[in-house]
Amino acid sequence: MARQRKDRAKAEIETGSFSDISFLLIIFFVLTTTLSKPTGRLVEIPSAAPPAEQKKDDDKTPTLKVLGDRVLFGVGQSEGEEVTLPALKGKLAKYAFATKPEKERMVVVEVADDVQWDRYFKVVTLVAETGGVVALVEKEE
Amino acid sequence: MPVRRKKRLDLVLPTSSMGDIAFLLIIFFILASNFMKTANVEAEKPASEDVDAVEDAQVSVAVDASGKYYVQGVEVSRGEIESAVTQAIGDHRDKPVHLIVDKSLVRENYMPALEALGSAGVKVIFVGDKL
Repeated sequence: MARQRKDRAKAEIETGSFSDISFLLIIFFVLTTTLSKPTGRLVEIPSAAPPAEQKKDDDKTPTLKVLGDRVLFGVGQSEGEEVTLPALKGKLAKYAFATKPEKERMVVVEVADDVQWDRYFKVVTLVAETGGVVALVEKEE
Repeated sequence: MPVRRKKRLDLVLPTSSMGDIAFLLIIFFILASNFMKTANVEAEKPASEDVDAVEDAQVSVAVDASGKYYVQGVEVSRGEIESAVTQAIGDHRDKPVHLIVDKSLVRENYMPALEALGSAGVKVIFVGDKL
């Protein structure tokens, strides 16, 4: 008697839709990828010192007081004069911070309570652009 | 005499390699992508003339419009910022931390973040748009 061979079921993985799935994934990655470079400014912030220590040797340190829509520029403990941002850039440029060690690049920035980040950002990025190091002033409780 | 029809060539576009190409493209995008860690944070960025293109962030700190703090997109309390940043940056201390703050926030909202980053001793990039 002749043996009958059983028909083997073909074990194949259906791959026809793989390319469709892959292209869908590509579209996902294309849409979620950020192609633009972030913009900003590297700002050097030394760790905050207590207020008493900050006031010791700041006689010649440029000091900025950011008050609402005004900026006062002074040296050390002086009250300071009101300046526009372009004028401030000119004043800070005269210090030639880029050629000085970090201690001599300090710019004390005092901020009033109501100053918005938008304003503070403009002042601080300007200081950083001229090579200054921003010294944060802690509020005395 | 019967008219003989010319044999038409079968026009078949070989598509078998499309899947391979697609997978190669996927691998490229996976490796080249840098997902935004702060995509869930609603913060309107400020603008300044003194900003330029900067390197991508290893760690992002954000303060949203309601004054909530985020490190790597995860909400943290004011007191946890420094430890969260130190933990996130690990040994890559030469890499800068991106600081994204909503432009309408006032001192009491952004100063704690600045003080924490100053205490953590990391390089900080203030993120904003170019005017």
